[in-house]
Amino acid sequence: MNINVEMFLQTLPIMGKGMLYIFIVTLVIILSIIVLNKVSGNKDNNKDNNKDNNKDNNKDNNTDTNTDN
Amino acid sequence: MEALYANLLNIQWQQIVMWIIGGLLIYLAIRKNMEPALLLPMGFGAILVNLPLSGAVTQIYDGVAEEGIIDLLFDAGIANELFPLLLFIGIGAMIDFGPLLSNPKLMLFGAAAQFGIFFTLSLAALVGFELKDAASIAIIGAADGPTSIFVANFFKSNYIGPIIVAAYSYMALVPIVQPPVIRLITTKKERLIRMPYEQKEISKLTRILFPIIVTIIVGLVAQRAVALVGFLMFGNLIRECGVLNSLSETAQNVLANLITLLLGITVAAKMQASAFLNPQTLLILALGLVAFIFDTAGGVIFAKIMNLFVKKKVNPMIGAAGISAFPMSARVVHKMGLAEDDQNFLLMHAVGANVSGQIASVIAGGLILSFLG
Repeated sequence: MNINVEMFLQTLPIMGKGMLYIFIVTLVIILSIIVLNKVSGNKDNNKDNNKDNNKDNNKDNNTDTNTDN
Repeated sequence: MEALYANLLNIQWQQIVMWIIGGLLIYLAIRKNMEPALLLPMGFGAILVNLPLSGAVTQIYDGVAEEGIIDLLFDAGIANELFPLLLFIGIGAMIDFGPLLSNPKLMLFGAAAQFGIFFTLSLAALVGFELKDAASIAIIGAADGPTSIFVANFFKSNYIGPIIVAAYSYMALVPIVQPPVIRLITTKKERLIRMPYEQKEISKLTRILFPIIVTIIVGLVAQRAVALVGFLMFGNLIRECGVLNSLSETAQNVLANLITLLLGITVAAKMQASAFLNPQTLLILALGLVAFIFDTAGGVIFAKIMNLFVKKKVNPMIGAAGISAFPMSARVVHKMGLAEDDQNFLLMHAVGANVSGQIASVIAGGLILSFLG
């Protein structure tokens, strides 16, 4: 085991940049989720989801059967 | 008659040690139920490749190479990153991002809990590993097998065998590693903070657009991680679109199981005694533990700092769930919460943080590849 202080010091900016970039990307994703939730609207979700689920169950049976064939 | 015992004379003590290690992995898989889907094939593979002149790996006979099946599988599935990426489709199909979409702030804990990766990068460099090997070792802290394999393989690390063993072993050891760290850096009062869960309905449109948007955002920032994040989110899109239920089931079950089956035994290609048994392996196992510890600490400390600025306090244990070991870490935090206060149900918050850790670990892996690739 050779202690390499120079290499250690080289990695410190990588540590700083890495954590900063992760947080920046995370914040952008959080903002996207907030915008998505606002735009797609959750008020009438239960009604819409029920309608969609019925439609999709019919579509799904047809699509999967076609794919399997 | 000589043909019966001739190969016995080729046994080396290092190979016997690897048989014991293989046996230990099998024991941990079966008796302790620690990541059996991976530790058992890895353990058995370790025995296979450490038999003298094993035909399971490439051998040279009279100057001619005879390719072994495990080396063949390694070249076909790990050297080109195929297996980890296919596994990610299955993992993406298994994940429900609902708790995260209900409370997007939880993503911050996923980000904070990647601190162990970068801390370990510096520590590995300090103890003498070359930068690319240090990065490969550090990515153990991603607590995510496919990302660890992807990054270690990209850097053509010489230590891919111990790195993968460490990654999967520590993922299985999360219930042992995390609680003492959490207790050390939190007070009882903090652990008692209640977080009532308010169920929010997430629209189908949000669930469908989320994987697409995440892929674009992460892909633009970390180009080399496009395959990783793309396949993870592709699996999730198959799950959430609602019109591909049989593909989603296949991805979650058949595909994930098939790849896991092959991945474990194929990794053993790098567990031959000559590559595995050296002092660096012990150091890598130690650094892997450091990565997990500092991931946990990073998430918890971030939550404590957050509590200085918010009115609605967060139970800091949620920060520990930001590690990507899903769903183990969420369960650990939930159990610890109940142990302190049997009316404090932290599971949904912990799951939200846990799934965000999956995304954050891919971002971290992609950034490491961008910085050092």
